[in-house]
Amino acid sequence: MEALRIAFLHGLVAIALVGPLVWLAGSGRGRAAVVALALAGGVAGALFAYAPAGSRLPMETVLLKGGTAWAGLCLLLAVMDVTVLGTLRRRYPAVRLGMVLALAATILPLDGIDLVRQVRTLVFMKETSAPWAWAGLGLLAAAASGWLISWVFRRFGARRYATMWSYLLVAPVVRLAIQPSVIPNLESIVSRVAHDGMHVLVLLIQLPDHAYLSSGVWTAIGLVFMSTTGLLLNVAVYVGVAAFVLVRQASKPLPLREDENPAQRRRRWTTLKTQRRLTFLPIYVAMAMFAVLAYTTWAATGTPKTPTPATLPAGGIEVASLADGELHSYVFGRSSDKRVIAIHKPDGSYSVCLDACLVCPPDGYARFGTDLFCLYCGTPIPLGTVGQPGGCNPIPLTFTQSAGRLVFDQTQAEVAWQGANSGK
Amino acid sequence: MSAGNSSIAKRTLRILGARWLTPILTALGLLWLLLSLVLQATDSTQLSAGIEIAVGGPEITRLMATNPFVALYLIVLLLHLCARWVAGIADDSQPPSLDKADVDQVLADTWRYAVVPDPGDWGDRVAEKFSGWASASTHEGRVVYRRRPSRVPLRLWQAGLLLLFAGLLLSTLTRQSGTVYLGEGQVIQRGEAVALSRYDWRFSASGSVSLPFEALRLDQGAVDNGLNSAFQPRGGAFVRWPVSATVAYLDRGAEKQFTARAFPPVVVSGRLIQVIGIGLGPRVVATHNGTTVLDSFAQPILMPGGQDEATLEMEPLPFTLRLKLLPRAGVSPVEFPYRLELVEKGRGVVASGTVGVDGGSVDYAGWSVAIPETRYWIALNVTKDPGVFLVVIGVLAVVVGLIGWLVAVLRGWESYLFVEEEGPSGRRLYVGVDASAPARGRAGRRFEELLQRLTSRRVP
Repeated sequence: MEALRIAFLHGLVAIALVGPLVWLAGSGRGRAAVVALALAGGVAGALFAYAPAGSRLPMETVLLKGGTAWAGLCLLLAVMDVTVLGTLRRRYPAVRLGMVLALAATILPLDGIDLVRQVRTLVFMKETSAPWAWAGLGLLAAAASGWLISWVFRRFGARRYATMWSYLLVAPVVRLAIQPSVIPNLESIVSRVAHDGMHVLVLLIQLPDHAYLSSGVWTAIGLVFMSTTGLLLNVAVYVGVAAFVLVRQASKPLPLREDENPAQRRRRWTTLKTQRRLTFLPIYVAMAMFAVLAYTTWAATGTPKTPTPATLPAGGIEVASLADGELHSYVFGRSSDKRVIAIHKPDGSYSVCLDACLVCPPDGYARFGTDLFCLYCGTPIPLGTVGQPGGCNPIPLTFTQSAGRLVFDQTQAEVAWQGANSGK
Repeated sequence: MSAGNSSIAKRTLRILGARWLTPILTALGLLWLLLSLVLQATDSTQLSAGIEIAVGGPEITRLMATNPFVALYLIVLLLHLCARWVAGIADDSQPPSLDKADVDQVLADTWRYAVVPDPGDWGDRVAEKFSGWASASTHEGRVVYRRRPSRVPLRLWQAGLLLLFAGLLLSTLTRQSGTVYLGEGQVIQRGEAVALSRYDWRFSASGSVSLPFEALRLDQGAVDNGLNSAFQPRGGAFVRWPVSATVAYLDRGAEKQFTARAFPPVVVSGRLIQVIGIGLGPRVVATHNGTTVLDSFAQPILMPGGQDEATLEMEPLPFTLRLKLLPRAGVSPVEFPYRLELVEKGRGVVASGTVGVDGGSVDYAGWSVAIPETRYWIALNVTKDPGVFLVVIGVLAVVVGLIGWLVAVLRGWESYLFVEEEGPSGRRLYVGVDASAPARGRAGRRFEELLQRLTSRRVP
């Protein structure tokens, strides 16, 4: 049933993304080409994810970066459409068809990859092929629902309000609704640009170091680096682009006719203005949706908590100090340059590990929600698997629990640390 | 400039300022940047390694400072935007054009209108009223008078943005910055090497900043440490610790001086100079069995209000010196005594005592260490960066232009249309007005005055 739900949602989103493109394609052949290309893209994505070559790629990264690039490209095209492309599109039907077909071809591969990836995981976990059948049913149900929704929309003449620029603004938000994990990536791009801009400005106006400037100045500068600022800027970028498009469209002069008197013209213009306002409605909804999605994702994500290393107590790690369930870090060894981490896991057990893995340089780990988070490569390690050896997991240490303390062999830990540090 | 050169310049300007270049250049740059940032943002290098090499890295500053292709792209973009700005200024100075479609549009948009008998001399009456306004007419005798928001603040704002952009570009391509450590009584000659960083501290570079003077000298007592009587930074709204130093320098044989502060930098011969560090440098004198083996000043390390403890390793001493300032009321920090500890590896503190200008030494195994003198040291940052000046002017222009533009936009615009036509009872004049929302009150009053003027009888 989980597969049915996943496939149904993906199917609905695919219909929501492809449907307006079918309307925008205009002619019958164009519409058929849009559907064919979109389906071909989705199937290609699914095959790519299923193929051995595709399986070896980090699909989460492909989805994340692909989704981000697609969203960014849509916004860019929306701005270009109301400035330059729109004129060309109206003058040359081939340009319009080319844009629609290009969008159709690129719209569903990511959904194909994501659907197959999720269903394969269910097949693996349940050790049965039934999820494939459920997924097929889900897609059929989505197709039926899509047909019904499309009929309702056509009944109310919704296609009249589908424009290229509104599609380019709404489509990314529809995609983000089912793939909200892309939003932090968008936010990090916006934050990075803001951060680098502030860095350049500080440098250019020769601001001196913290010791010499007042704390108020540094607090003002620090506002740019806050995570809340990143959230607000992320929303501001989308709302800014949407507002630009809306203002451009709203300020376009309405068409004149030679054969009408002022009263007739006023009446016709009133209708046209109402229609124009209706084409703006999806954008207002998309702006609100994006703001809500960005906020909920931001609120759920939080920030990594990096533990401050303390000196390892002589008798071992006190169990009581781990009661908060947070990640704790300790320095040990003769030169106090090696670290262990300890945590009281949600299942009630304890883990003591080196603050390093077998793969990355030993930058250590931070706690990030229900995961540990490698500070070097960013790989999330579910808390349940901390204490298990291998790969990106922190190297586990054998320890004993006695007299309220966790005790491990420091000599062995030092040898393990040196081995990890030298890649052995 | 000859006519041929002028024609070439105009043609170049026209090509560089072509409108269609803007979306193409913008799209190219944004796609490039977006791709680079997207691939880098998750810190996973599996997919971004290739693009990182292609564009020289994801950080904008590094991109601009280190990648010649990015610099070339930005120079082309800047030239294009400057050409468009110049073309915009040229457009502003042209009288407005008017064709049938414009008239139809104004007619359609008319907010208030009236039809009055043609007084015959309506052209003169209207021209008096709209003296100084932009006007245009068609060959059918239709006339439009317009007062739109002044474009000057907008152009100033745009110029500010272009200056900011140009300054940033110039800075990334030419900036050199270095730090000079100068102790009281010390002289630094032009030839001495100054540590240099290229663009910012993360990217070191070979070479040195050439000092804009033949020699620098910091006299005794030339440093204001910025501390109050309790040895705490004096504080201010912007600068928390207002340290400053008056530095003497030789310029073509003549001795001059400047006062460098923490902020803002002082400009000397085109170089920006500011104090980025201050400290006390103790003179360490060490003897071994009566023979002086060390007599030198330590680098700036200590300052009440800042760091007042330090550990020094000085050759050829076989131990480490651990120093702690002992502030004393009523005297300058350079007269403070120190708590001095000699620390030997593996043995810990082997000797300790109080030393300072009043005398005293710490002795251990034939060694004797004293600190008979302390001097101020300052770290002077010397930056050669013509881009900074453009950035500062650009910021000012952006702020002033933006305020002016907002004021002009809030004042709104007005448009008056006059159409002469043949009516059933003789010639008549259609008068229409259109105005933006903020200007409608003013436009309404002007419209009434205009109608009065058109319908009043003129005394011969």
